Amino acid sequence: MRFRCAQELRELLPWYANGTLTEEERRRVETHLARCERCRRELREIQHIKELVALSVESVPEPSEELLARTVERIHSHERHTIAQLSWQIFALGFSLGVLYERGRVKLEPEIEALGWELKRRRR
Amino acid sequence: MHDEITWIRQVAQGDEGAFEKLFRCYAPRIFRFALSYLNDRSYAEEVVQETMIAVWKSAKSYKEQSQVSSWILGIARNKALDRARARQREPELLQERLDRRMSMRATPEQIVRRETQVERVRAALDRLSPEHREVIMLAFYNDLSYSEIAQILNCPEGTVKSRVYYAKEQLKKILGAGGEIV
Repeated sequence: MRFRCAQELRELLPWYANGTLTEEERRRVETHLARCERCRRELREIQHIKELVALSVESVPEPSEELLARTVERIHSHERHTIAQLSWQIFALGFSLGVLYERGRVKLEPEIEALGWELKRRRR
Repeated sequence: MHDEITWIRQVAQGDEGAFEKLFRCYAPRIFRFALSYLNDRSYAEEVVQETMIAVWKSAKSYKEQSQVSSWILGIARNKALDRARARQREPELLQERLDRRMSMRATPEQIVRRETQVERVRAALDRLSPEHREVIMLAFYNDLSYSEIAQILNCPEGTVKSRVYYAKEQLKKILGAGGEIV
């Protein structure tokens, strides 16, 4: 008997092949596969493509053991750098404020004095 | 899943122990994921490092609506794509890419035949559009669910399903022409 498969079910076959369907979806696909030769053939093709795709990638199953240590060291080094940079920025800001304050005071004092005289003069 | 969210919360507080657990759990997965984009061990390790450093720095901004795996692999995808763009296309040494298991067990004839097959599959994958190639690798090499892929690519699940379906049809056609599909 010719059976017209729902596109929705055919689209689930790749996920059936990679084992990530939900329990309910998996059961629906299996029920359908049991009666559909066309989808069984398609599943075999997908499994074959899956094997070929795996072959196409360099076969190195695990990253190296020392990668964790290297990553933690990079984080620490970045944080040390950030702290050093921040300390320097705080120091530079403090220094600049100090300089500005000193300059401002020196410059402003005669002006304030002049303003005081002007005020007194107007009151008179 | 529950543990992973707890680890992320702890990492957000600066807990290095939780970071180590997360690293041990995810590094092999990110590594494999990056390999599917870069096909180079040292580049893939750099992507693992950069991804995990980004996780350390941005754990506070993790939104718990998405799966931890999708969030982390989404970061890894951006890092891998950046790396791939920077690298452009460098010549690769075929010998370096050969499967160790294969070379240990197979006869020279089998190795040569497999080598040819590997090259054909790579050439076929290269003929796919970048979007189709990407979903094929995510589904068939990284074994991710359609919902994870949808979150990583930030597109609807229906789009992922139909994209994989058409990409697979396209790949089948290309490989079929070379006699790869039985």
